[in-house]
Amino acid sequence: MKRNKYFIIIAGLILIHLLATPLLACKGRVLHLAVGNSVDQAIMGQMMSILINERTGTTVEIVQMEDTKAAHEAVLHGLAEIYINYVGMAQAGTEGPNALDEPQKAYILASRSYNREFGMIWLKPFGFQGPMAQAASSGEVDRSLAAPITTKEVIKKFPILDRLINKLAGRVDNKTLEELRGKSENQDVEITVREFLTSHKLI
Amino acid sequence: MKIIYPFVVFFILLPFLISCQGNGDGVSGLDEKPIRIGFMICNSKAESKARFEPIAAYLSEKLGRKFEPILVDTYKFEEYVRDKKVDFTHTNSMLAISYNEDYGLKLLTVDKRGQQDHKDSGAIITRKDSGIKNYDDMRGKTMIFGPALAPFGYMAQYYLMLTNGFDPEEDLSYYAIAPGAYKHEKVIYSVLYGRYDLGSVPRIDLDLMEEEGKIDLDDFHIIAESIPMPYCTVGAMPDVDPALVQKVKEALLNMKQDESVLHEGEVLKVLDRAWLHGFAEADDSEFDLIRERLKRNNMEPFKKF
Repeated sequence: MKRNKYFIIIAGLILIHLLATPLLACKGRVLHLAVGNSVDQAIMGQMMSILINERTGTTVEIVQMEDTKAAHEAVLHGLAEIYINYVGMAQAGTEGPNALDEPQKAYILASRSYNREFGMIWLKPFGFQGPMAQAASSGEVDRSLAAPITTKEVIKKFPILDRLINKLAGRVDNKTLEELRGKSENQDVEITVREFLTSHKLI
Repeated sequence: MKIIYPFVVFFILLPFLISCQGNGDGVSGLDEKPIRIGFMICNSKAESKARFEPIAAYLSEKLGRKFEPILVDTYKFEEYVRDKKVDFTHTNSMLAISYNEDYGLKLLTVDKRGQQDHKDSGAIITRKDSGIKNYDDMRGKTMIFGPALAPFGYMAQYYLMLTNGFDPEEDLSYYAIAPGAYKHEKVIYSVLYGRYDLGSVPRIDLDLMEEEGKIDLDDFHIIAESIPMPYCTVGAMPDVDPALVQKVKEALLNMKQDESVLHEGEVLKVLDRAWLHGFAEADDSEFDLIRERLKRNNMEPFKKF
């Protein structure tokens, strides 16, 4: 009886140890990419993740957030390093050029504002406008330019990150995004994105 | 029942003991608050521990103060400087300049290693049979770089290309950073075995790999090589007692090749263990070459968005 008691205690401690170790173990260099709950965020998040991992060896973990605002907060508080935003959303409630009529001007103003206010850097727009509604089979969107955002601190640690992600600039317009979404209905998003990156010689 | 207590304590502490959060094992025997010297991890933590911990032990012995070595990943090093978790730093010269600019780090000494004394250069290499002879031939080719935070594995070559009318972002068909540990060796092997057309590598690694019989330099063509610039650098945080800074600097500069220290039960020759010939006094003006390249490359701490 006494021996069984020891056995149970030791087995319990081993279990605690096994559960605790992965939480504390080394993970190496990891970037966290926060994505909102929309089709374009899922596709572009996966695309950036594969691009960065293939070309730098850095592990990228995609963090699913409720929406773009939550993704912004995650980066702002250092819980993630990259997210995707839309010029229209960033400009919401402010005066200035309309994100639909003058997209480039609106993008520049949003960039300056985020740099000044949050120390965040808008990288070059992908080309498409979004966000794309999650359930819409027609790929319905609320149109304004989408672009990846990171921080000065992150670029300091990962000096080629901006140069690398900017290789996606202008490569994914509305039509391309629609095609990627269509393919992703029949196969895994990762496979779709990997095929796209390979065909464009980006990985 | 009492016999189980040591096991209980052991199992509870085990995950913490084997996690990667520990930073060095300190130097025993002296009572004062330890002086923390951060060593940038080169290649691997195990290799850097073996190389650099004897230096901390040597300083403890010479100065009669406990020096605690802290091994830090390159990309985490700035946190240690910013948050004042270290008093002295040992990093590559590019990081030293970044901290000098942003945090007022004082540049003390530069490691002497390899054939260029306290300097090294960055080379762009290709296989000798690739047919690539110059920058024009490099257009449309693939290239592998060392770490992006390395002065002679990335910064020097990027500058060479830009200043010779070659934009790496536009003129290469593809480039990547070598993954994982031992990046410089991976660059050289990637070129040697044809995975990439071009490689960006510190000259010292080419020379050392040849000395060790790992490669034959005759298999490579060096398309371009930067001018020599300061190698790994010891720095002091601006708030460290100037008298202590001076003592550390003198101890390093005066270290002889055959000087040894007792570390973890072994008597070790400090410089041999660190793969160094000695330390040279840091001359700030020599670092202007690095500042100039960081600016031209639009890299931190001078990056403009």
